[in-house]
Amino acid sequence: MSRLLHSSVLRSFRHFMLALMLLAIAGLFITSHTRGDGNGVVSNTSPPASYFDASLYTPEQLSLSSINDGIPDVWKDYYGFSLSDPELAQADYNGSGATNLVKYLANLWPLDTTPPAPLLSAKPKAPPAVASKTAAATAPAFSFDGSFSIPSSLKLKNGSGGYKNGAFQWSYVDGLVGKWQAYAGSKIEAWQVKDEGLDGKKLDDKLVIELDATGKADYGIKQKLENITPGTHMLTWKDLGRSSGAAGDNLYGVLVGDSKLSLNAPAQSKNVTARYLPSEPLAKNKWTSKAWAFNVTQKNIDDAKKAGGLWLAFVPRATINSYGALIGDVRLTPLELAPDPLPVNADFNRGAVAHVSRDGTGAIPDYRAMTLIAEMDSIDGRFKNGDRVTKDLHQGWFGLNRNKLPADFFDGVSVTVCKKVKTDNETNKPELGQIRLYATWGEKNEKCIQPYKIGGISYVPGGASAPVNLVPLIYGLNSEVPPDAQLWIEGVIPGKITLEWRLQKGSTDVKFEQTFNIRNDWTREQWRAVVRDELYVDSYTSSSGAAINGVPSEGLDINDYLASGGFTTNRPYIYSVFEYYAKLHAQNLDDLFFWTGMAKAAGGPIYAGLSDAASAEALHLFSGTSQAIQGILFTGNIAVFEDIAYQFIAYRISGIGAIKYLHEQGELKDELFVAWQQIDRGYQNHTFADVMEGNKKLLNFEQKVILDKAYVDLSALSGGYIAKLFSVLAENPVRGGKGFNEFVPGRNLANFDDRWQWIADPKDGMWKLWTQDKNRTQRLTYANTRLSTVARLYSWLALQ
Amino acid sequence: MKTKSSSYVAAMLAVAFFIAIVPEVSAVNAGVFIDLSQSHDLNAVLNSGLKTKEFTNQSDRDRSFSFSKGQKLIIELPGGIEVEQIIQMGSMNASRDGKIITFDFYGGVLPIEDAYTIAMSVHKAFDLSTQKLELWRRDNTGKGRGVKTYLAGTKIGEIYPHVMIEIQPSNNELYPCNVSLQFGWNIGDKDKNLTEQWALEHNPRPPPGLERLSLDSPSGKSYDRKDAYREINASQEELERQIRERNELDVKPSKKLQATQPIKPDQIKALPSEGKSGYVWLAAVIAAVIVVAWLLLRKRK
Repeated sequence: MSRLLHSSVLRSFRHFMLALMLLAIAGLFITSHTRGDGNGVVSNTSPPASYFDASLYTPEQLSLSSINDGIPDVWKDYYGFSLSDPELAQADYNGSGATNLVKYLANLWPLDTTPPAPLLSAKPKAPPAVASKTAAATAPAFSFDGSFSIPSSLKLKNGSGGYKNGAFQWSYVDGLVGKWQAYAGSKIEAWQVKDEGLDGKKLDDKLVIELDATGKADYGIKQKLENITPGTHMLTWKDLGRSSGAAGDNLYGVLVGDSKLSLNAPAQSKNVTARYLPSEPLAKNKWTSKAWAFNVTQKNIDDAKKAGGLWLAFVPRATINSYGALIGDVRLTPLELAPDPLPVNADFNRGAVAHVSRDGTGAIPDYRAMTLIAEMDSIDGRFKNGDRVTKDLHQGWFGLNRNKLPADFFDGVSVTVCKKVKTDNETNKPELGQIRLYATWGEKNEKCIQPYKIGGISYVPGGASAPVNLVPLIYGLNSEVPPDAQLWIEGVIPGKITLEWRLQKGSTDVKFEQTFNIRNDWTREQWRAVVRDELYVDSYTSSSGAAINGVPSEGLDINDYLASGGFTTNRPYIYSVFEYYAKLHAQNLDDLFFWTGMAKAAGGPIYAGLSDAASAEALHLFSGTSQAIQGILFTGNIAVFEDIAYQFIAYRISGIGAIKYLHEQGELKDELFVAWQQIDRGYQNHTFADVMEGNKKLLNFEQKVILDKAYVDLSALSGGYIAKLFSVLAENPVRGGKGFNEFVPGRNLANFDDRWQWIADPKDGMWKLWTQDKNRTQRLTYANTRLSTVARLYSWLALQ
Repeated sequence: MKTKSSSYVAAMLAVAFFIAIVPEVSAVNAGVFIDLSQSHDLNAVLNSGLKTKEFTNQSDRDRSFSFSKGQKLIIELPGGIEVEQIIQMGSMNASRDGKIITFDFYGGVLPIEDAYTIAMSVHKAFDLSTQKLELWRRDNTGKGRGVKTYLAGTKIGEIYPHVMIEIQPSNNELYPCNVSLQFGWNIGDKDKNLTEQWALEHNPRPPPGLERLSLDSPSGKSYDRKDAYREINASQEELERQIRERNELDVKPSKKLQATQPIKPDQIKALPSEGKSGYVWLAAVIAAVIVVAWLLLRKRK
């Protein structure tokens, strides 16, 4: 009896200990956020996995509030709030300082739970009055009105002579025409072009201005550029020569500068920030589209503030008396900039993911999908297979937004977008970033600009490689993409990429460069939310073995993985987590993420040990101690997960930039930052030793800081008996390696120095076995072997 | 004579005990002082008397060390501030040319309020915002083993070296926290060119009363992890007692079966000394040898 008892006890302890040891080595990534009851209002259903997305609801739904408190019912319902709570709008359930009304308007997380990664483009539709107030209070928008509307103080001189069809003379004392101001001393002729017939075309009944020098060279019009922001701006307009221009009498210039812009000698003016001074005379009686781009810096803006701000002026240049030129349809459009940084589309929205089996590589995150079309029904019911999913992208483009100009402006226009060969000044390597440009229109149509990934195309100015126009389908008369299509940018691969946007039309040639910095400036909690979503999608399958391993056919929320759950309850999570390691390891990242591969390799014995332990516990052997051991194991694993899992995801998706951001925000310790820098340096320079050493530093940190506490706690149990037994029985998780007691006889596994020697001994330590003695194929094979298959090799009892 | 000899033995035992025990006690009390105010040379640590163990492989770019538990550290930083702690674990990374890159240590288990109080003093000393810390305290009080990690640090490039304070989950239900402090030198773009001289000129001076920060329990208590397992350990001991009793009643097992029996603590080779128990044993042996020798000498006389 006693022998039997001893034998059973030994076995149960043995597997508990094996589990602890291997979990410790592998650093099992298990999350366990206590699901708080939050505000007490939330029902006992799970909190939503992502932010409320207003774009999924109709305007009618968004305007319906049962108690008219400014928050639509669909928002309340989405987060599980009562629809009729009169205090809801002013309440603040998570103590953020913002009321629920503000949270709805600003799309903030209202629950007392860990917020998921934010939606980058989907914002709730705020009531217009509130939204406009907010916008006005924060950043006044740049506005420019190029039209020439007739002030009531002026009378048209209809009919006769050169003023046919309506015109007036306009002096600076007459006030503004539209937002234009005449220069002091000017007498500007304004024409209402109607059936003008100058070139047989109408100008839509708009007023145009005659820039007529009449020998004085001091006529001109200007408009203040209120709230202009730094960047490149494109001015477009139409002009028409009133004379043949042979004597240069219809020449004019366009100036940008402070209010002291000189008219008499614009070319020499010291107050000019930018100037456009064409030398070719205008064609007589022919309307021509013109475009000019100029750049404004913050210094230009600051300097001009001392002299009345920045202005834009049209100035006649001829000094002889002539009819000059007409100008009209003036528009000033800032060239768009993508956000800096531009995030990688990393938010698992559970709609755009490609859903693959557990045997494959797992769910593919958005940034890896080559389409904006959902490939499965979303788990939370927000998308259907085939729907377009764009909420994680940056809406807009860079360069000129064609929707802000008439479609005919692009007739004959050649717009090219090409990649420039640049060196990343932070890495001193060629820029590695990649983006995609999309246009979407109609019901489900979409066009991913060729090639789908901009990053692989080189443009060598002046070299043999001609610039490749990446956007032939967007602009121009024969564009396949309708003018009202929406344009999108998606970050794909982290790093920098410099693109040149160029517009050519006749004599107009505008170039514009932007360096995209593709990086996710996300917090630790945001990355953890990505991990959580990824695991959820990965586990959402009933295919190939899920059932036999206890994984349900619906997704697993890793936040439900609790230390107090015990092996039986936690079994599906363990299985799912280890498959997740295998995916990380297999996604062409074996050369970077040694740690995750080893974690998966250790999964089999861990699973077997826990399975056997559960069997032993069922025999009521040392149940109190067994439970305590399990509690220690799971708590240690939670600590490891919380400490490091998000780092792998952040680096995988967004590279060292995301790691730097976390470090700068004080969310990543120096020691770990140094480790990641070394991994990245190895990746950039193809130095294997650096990658390995960086991974080893991660392992070292987890062992000595995070897991050491679990070992020490074990030592506090049963007079140290448990820790000592661990030391005797611990086997090597890397096949062929020595057990702990064989490696360092008589030592204590709970002692970090002893444990680390077993792991990192340069001669035959566990780490060397895994990273050097096993080749890449062996590592991949071993890590990709089904968890249950490996577990059976270690299991003493029937695998649960 | 009998009284005299007894007194002599007692005196010898006392001397042996003193020789064996006092050095360690005094080492803990006085602590190991490491001056990092003028430089961050590796030798400043290696020559300080701190017990370290190096784990550097030949191929490693950096050198790595660990510090064994129970040592009291006192570290002086540029600007005069000092930090002290009886450590549970410590580690250091250094470059091959002998410059420390990171220095990290944490102390024993603490109740959450102790950890909060210590962290608050660190925040004040380094002028860190305490808002996040207050939220952490609010959200984690009473969570036991479920306590979450708290991490805060100075901004890179504003204080040199970079300082990070961390409250780590200790894994223990009753005393769920460990307080950790970490320093980093020239680790980011913003501090890669900073020096101790720069720090002397720019680092903020600690507020009065915070020139020396203790990261140990403010109450002076030493918390024992075993407290969390008192009931389990008691029931375990009771069960073991029952097993022993049954063993005594059983027939002696065969050799084959003996191999599968659990290994008891006294069957396991003695583990490396943890603290003063090794010295006590040594002292006892020395004392015994002295006593026997004295008795033999007396007989001959």
